[in-house]
Amino acid sequence: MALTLRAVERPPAALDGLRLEVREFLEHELAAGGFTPEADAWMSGIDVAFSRRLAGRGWVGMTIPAEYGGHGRSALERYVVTEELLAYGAPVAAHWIADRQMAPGILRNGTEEHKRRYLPGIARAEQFIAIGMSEPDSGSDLASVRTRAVETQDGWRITGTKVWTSAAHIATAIVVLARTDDGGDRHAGLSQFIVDLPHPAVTISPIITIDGAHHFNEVVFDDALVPCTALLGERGEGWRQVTAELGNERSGPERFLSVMPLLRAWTATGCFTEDPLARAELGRLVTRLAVLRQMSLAVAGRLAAGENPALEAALVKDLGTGFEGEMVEVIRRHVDPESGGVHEDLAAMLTKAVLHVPAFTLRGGTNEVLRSIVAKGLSRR
Amino acid sequence: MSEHLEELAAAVRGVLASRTPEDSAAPEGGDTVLWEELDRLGFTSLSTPEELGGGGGTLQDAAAVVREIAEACAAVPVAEALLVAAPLLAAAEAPLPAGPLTVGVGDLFAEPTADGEWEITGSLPRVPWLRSVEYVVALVDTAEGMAVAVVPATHPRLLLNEGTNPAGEQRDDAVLDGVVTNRVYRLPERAWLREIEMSGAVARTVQMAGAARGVLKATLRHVREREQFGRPLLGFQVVQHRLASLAADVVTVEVAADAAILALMHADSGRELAVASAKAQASALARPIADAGHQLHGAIGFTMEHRLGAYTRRLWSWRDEYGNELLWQERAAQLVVDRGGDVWGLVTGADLSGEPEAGEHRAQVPDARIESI
Repeated sequence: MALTLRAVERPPAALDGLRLEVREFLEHELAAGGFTPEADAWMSGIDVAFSRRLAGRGWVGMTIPAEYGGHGRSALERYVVTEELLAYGAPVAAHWIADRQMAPGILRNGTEEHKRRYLPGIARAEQFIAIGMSEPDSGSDLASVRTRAVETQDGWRITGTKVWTSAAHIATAIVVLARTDDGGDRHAGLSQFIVDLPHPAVTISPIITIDGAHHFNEVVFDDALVPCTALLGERGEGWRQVTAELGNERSGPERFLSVMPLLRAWTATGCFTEDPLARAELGRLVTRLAVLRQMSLAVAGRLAAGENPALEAALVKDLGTGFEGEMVEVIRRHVDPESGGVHEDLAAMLTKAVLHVPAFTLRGGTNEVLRSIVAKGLSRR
Repeated sequence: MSEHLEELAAAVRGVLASRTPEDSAAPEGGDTVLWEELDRLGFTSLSTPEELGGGGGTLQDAAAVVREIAEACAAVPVAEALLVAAPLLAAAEAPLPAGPLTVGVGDLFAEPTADGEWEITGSLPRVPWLRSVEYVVALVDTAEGMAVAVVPATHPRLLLNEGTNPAGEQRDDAVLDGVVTNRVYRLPERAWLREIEMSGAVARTVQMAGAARGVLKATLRHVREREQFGRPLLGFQVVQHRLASLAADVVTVEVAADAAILALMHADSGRELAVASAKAQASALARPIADAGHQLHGAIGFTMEHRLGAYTRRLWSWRDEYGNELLWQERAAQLVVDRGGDVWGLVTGADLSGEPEAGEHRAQVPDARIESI
């Protein structure tokens, strides 16, 4: 039974300097009205200008090597920066997917031309890359994608529909998972393409979430012609490439810190000093939070060491996202928005958080899928 | 796990091999034979500095040993010796006594006698394995400050009242009515009661990690072997998901225990939060872990002849010892209050204000005394 996770030492004190630098930047932004803290802003807080200001400080594309316009920082340094951005509820959604997932994917699978074409722009927050995986009939069962790419003399022609594509409406490119070959294993015959946007044969339309906001999109490819160079990685290796990205996708601090701004706003009211019930629940949340953070750091450490702790990442994401929902519930009970005395900003943040909770345990692989992954891993070993 | 720790754990497993629990029966008494064997191999003095006659190992080394012993449900107070007594004695530069020892937490007072010895009075509730050891290590108050005493457990002025915890492990009350010994060692100024509560809580958390792993292993084996409706239980998705969430809770306790050990090894501001979080999580997760284990085992696991109960009875006992989840959650809440509500600064161990490390001013917060271990 090889499902194990060992706690890692807390990030070295040297990283406290970086952490405090980010914190100071964010405090300064807040004071200047640069952004309004929100829960779940990594998913829905799209603010291109903010992303550029962050990039100006060198905090976008941190782990991209300097030769591709990045900053050559460690995964742990990036972890520290993303933790702070999440805790402050900063609007980072514009560049989040490119920074977290597509830059590592391009570094791993892209050609030299891909790297030169996309990575410097990602680090400057000028290139925003969306990710096209789910389809109307293909959610948890990703291998069932129907979007098809057919090779022609001029390149590839892509036809199909992608849904739940975050920030596609501001993206400068989208990475698409499409079927290129039939027959054999259903996991075979899939390939990844990187398609520049806007594109005359690609239509992007909003999908509005239950909070009335627009960050999801439907992206329709209607026989969209893309050059041969749009193929990312190997033909037929799309499944392997996508699952390798899942480690990056599932293990980050956004899987337990999405509603951290709400907890911070609540504790800032100081209510628990007078209220023993609130205090008891605060203690419960904080002790859970501290341990989940250790688990997340442990997975991040394994990833940084070049391992692929897929099982452990799935396990931690299951726990972390469940905790996020619980945190919202606890705070809602104690803030009691109907009591009338709640500060406007806190009430607004809470309302948004409540309406976002269902997404926590769906996105990046439903928790049911994650549990199946863990159980299969346990029974295999 | 590092290679060194893995080797250490394997070495202890070698000694424990014949002691893996076969059933859920309460231990028949302290396993003094095992203590002697572990002692001969240097495991019981592993975390004592070399200059005091020990192995000079770290708390991480000690935890690797304690976890294995807990998973074997062995009846020896090694967690107390390695994780609580050894650091306390080392702080007083006191040698480790020869022979089985345990730790007591209570109210003791020592007065010097005319012939240069000490006379100790007071009480120690619920001392683990007291009737099976030669010494109990405990904090004592003296007129000149805190000290650590190595009290002879068989001293005629030590009155012992036998008890057990729900796992059937010995937990004996002791009243000391003028126990005379020369083994009282002065400690440097520090919040020692708080220290011992923390190291005790970490010791139990590490033990719970071992027992929790025992539940997971037994359960995994059972759902693979047991067939119903013509297939192994593991073939049912509902069982797979219960198993996955059991595994998640077990790994949570393991990481919490690890993190608390690392925290005890450092004197930084994250120490108290890591310890409080670890014991709070371990205690709170004892129920879901035991629940899932028993549910997946069916009635088979509810019998004395099955080993599952050996692990779950210990989880149900250890979650209450050295403070349950409410006590440690309250401590964590207090840490947030101490930081003026800056919960994120607390969790990350860094804040913008540049205030001195929390250790000093926290020492003045009155201790909520843990009455029973």
